[in-house]
Amino acid sequence: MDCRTAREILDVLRPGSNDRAEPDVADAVAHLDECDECTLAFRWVQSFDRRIGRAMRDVPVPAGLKERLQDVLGIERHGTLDDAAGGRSAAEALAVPAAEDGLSRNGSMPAARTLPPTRRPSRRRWWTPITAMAAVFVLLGVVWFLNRDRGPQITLAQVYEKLPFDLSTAEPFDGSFDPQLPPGWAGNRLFIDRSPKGSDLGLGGQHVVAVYGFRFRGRDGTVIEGLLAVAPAGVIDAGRPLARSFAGAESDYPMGRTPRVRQLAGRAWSTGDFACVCLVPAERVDELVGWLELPIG
Amino acid sequence: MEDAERLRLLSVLVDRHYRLVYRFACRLTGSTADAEDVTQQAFLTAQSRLDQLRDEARAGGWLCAIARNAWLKSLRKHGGLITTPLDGTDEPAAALPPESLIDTEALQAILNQMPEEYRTALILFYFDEFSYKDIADHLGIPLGTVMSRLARGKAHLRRRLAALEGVGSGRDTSSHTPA
Repeated sequence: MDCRTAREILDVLRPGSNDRAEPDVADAVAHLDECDECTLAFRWVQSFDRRIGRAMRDVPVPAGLKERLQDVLGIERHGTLDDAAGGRSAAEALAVPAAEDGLSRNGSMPAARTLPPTRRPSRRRWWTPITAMAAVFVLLGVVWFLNRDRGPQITLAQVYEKLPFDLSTAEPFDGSFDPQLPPGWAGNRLFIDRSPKGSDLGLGGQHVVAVYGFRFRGRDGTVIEGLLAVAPAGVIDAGRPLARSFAGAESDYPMGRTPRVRQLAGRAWSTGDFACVCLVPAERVDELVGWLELPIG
Repeated sequence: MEDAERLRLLSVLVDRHYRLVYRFACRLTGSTADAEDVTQQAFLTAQSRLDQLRDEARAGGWLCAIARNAWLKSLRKHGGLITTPLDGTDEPAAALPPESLIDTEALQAILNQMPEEYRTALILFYFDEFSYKDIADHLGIPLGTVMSRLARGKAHLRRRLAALEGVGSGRDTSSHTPA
């Protein structure tokens, strides 16, 4: 494929997305392995697109908008799914009562019914206790499933605050899940410690996040260090829907820490199975994205 | 779908996507007041079309598409937009300084001036909910047309932003003559 065609195709790939996996663009991506100039141009365009994307999405949302929408739509206002720290999951909020017998559709218990003073036994009454028992078992199962041990709910702010900078004294990870590096982080362009450390984030008890230290070389030749924390999806409450990749995530600038070098930027995203949080010097975020997006050679 | 289920799904959609839809509408309309109207209309329309939502993972894009249609309907009612054509020059765009912050107000001013077909394609692209194929499907145009609109739209953005930054005609590595 010639350079012009490759660049035309690569120009429409969204940074940090799965667009590069599309079959139509495979040839264009493969061209990057052979052409340093196009690789440079691609990195430049992606960097521009990331900055424009962030600016494009940087729009303040007016206070009370959600409540006004709920009023117009006739939705009952309640604690939001993503506002309550350590709050209920979407599944809990949407749980439909399993049993119909004795429970109304919206989950509330109906008022007790008064039986008439005299009542002939009905031939159909035998199935009522069986259905009730089945309903109780199903309900217990739902309650168990929803409250199974997924680890404590923690906020993103707590993660930023408590992630240990110095991993040399941290213990090897010994939590209850099998951590996995997010896609693109396991390549040979990024030096990452494959054996994670563990942290309880100050909560005491078991490790709730697996923490990886990583290093990459900046444009100026400096070695840049960062932290990557991984936890099962649903454990970290970010207070907002999470992006699907590091590149697509918003940057946070956690306050209250003493950074080793200038200010740190934090980014949180979800791979589906895991929530990932990264801390890296703020001025190096774009460079890290560049490292992660290059084809692995 | 039963009424209670519909209400629950709608509640989840509002919770998860109202910020996205509002921000998208803001960039599209250029006005916070219009954006709130469009957002409201989008969710009202979505309420009546919940059965059409097959994949909740794509709900954000679906809602943005509804918002765009609501805005276009409103435009047709009120006589359309005043826009200026994109720069016709093929000269390489000046490069933005790598560390410069993008002025969001300047960005909106540039978007407001762009013809609707370019503005929409760019906003759909940068809001990350639509791949270039999704954009083509949603706008009902060929892939080649989407690619052309995105390329021209992005080049126009770069030129205008660089001009505002006061950057001279620096070398744009994305457009120099390929081998």
